[in-house]
Amino acid sequence: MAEKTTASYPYRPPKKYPKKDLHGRVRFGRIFYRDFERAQKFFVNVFGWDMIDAVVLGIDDYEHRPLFVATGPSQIGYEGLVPGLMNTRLYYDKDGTERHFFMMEVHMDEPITNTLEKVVAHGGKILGYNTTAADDGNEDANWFSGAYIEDPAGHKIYLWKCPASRTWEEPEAGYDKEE
Amino acid sequence: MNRIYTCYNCGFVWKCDEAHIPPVCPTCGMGPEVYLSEPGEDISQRRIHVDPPKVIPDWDRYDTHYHPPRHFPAHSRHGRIRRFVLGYDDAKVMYDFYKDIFDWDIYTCENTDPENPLMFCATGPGNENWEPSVPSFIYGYLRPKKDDPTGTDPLFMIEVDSIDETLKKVVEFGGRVLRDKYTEDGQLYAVIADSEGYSWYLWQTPDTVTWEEPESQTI
Repeated sequence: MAEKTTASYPYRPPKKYPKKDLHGRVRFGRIFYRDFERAQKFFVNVFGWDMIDAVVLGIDDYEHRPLFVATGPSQIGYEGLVPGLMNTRLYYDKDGTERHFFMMEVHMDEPITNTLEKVVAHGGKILGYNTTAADDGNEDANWFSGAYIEDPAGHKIYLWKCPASRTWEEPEAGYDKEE
Repeated sequence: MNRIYTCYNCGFVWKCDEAHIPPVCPTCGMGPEVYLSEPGEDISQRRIHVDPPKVIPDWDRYDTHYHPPRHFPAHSRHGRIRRFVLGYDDAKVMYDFYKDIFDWDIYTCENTDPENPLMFCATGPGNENWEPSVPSFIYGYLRPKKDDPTGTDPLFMIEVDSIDETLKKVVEFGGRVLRDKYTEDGQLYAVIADSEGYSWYLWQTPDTVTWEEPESQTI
């Protein structure tokens, strides 16, 4: 179990993450709307969010389109620009059955199936692959390689494998570099 | 063979094999006709430079066509999604799951039930104050599901300048207050449902913030 502390924060910084690897980072939200105009009015006026159409995700029905949302200072691609905040995607929830979840990255240098085996061994479930995710040969080239899982408490999570397009110059790709 | 691509509509840069060029820019959705292409692997060595678009101050905030993200004012973290909160049934199972598979650094917060503790989780690189040191990801909590009196198990926590002012706006724009302002470990929180019925934690910016912290910055 986790260590016990005597303060709000333990008397140590968090562990170092020295590898060129974003495995385990909680990176993007997935939230939902039933009525876009109503939701947009709410999020823009209550929280000051900024939104763009997520064309890359496919827009067949503009009224029910997916969007990228900046919840704070952000890069041109709607990735967060300063530490400590997360942006989100906003999707249409057709029948009111969706629940919020998040995307977490997995290792870029091994097949997603390696992580999925551990998920099952630790009491989680695999809910489904994106079609390309099962094809190890395509994982490194495809922007949509991933799998949906459920943790032991029943939370849905999307595991995303970033393609080799990452240049490691992106602000979000930072890691603990050795002094 | 890898090439470096730059979208001259939005300035987004990526590298990929020329056999796998995305059909639209991953950021702005424009097609390959607006990509600049050059050989190479290292973005820092690219010869073509495209100035990123500037913020458009008078952009219609309801227009969702591509535009650079708006300017977020200094000395405010209002509206930022800052934490996740994962409810659990079994503390050890949840702890082992995220520590062993996803390499999180997890500690138990003081003065919580030893059998069902509140736990705080680092999910990547961080600073001494247990805030992320790198953009675009968050830390968060593991907490017993039974500790949520609303029964809605909100997943995300949004930081706001003022709980009181935000709760008024929540109601004004079609949301509901599920749990009025309350204090926990010296911090102010509330739980709301948005206009679509989904629940969120609100967390008021603590008085101790100096605005010098990396997580307090803006552009």
